[in-house]
Amino acid sequence: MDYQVLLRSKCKEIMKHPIVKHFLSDPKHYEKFKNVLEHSDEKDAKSLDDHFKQFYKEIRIIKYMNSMIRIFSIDFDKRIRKNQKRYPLTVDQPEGGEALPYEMGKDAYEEFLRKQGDLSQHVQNRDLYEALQTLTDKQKSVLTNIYLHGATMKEIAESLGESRQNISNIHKKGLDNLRKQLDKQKKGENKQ
Amino acid sequence: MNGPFDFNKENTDTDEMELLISRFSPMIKKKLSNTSYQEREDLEQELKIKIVEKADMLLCQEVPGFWEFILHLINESS
Repeated sequence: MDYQVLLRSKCKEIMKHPIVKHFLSDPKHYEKFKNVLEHSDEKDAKSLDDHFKQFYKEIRIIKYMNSMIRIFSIDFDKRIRKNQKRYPLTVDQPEGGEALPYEMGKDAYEEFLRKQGDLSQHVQNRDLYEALQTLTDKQKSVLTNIYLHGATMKEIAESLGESRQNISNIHKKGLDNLRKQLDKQKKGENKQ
Repeated sequence: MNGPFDFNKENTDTDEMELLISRFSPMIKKKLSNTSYQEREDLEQELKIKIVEKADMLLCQEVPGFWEFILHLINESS
């Protein structure tokens, strides 16, 4: 057998290799190895071959698992840390930014309307909306103050610098105008 | 030939996996200290999943026999 010749010549070198050394440190393996060297025992050579395959596979699995577990655990920790940094969990203090309307117990739509100073923005009926557009600016502002802000005649009179009666008149005329416009629109619809 | 990785052919794949996992769980447990206390269970599970993923590749790999290995060593050194 050619490998035996080679083996003898390089025996010492090979024995120094850590895997071979470890493998032959098992007395059973070493005995078989000696048998092969001395008597070139074919059966022992085969058995040694099989044993070594098993042994080597095991070492490979352990080596792979060892580095895989080590590297993966470090990577995992890095990933978790990154996530925690990006999405910190804060339950002991309010979130940054403006609170959402529902959190304050208010309806967002109501809140929006309250900010609209124009009465026509609060009207859902299309006819009434169009009728409102035909009023003069003064009538509009008086109606807005009364129906949107709930102001009294006196308060409006003071803020506009006019008499109470005058405001009352404007209010009445405004309502009359609206009524007329709505009547007109109704007649127009009936004719069609 | 009864090494820890010499699995009977009668064994199912799951048995092999379980054996593999139980064999390496001490190694996993040791490495759990790499992460914070809350994440340890997650890490353990992820590592086990990883082992299952790689099990086929590891168990079915081709390894050289003894003489083959020695020939390879000789060739390399010369």
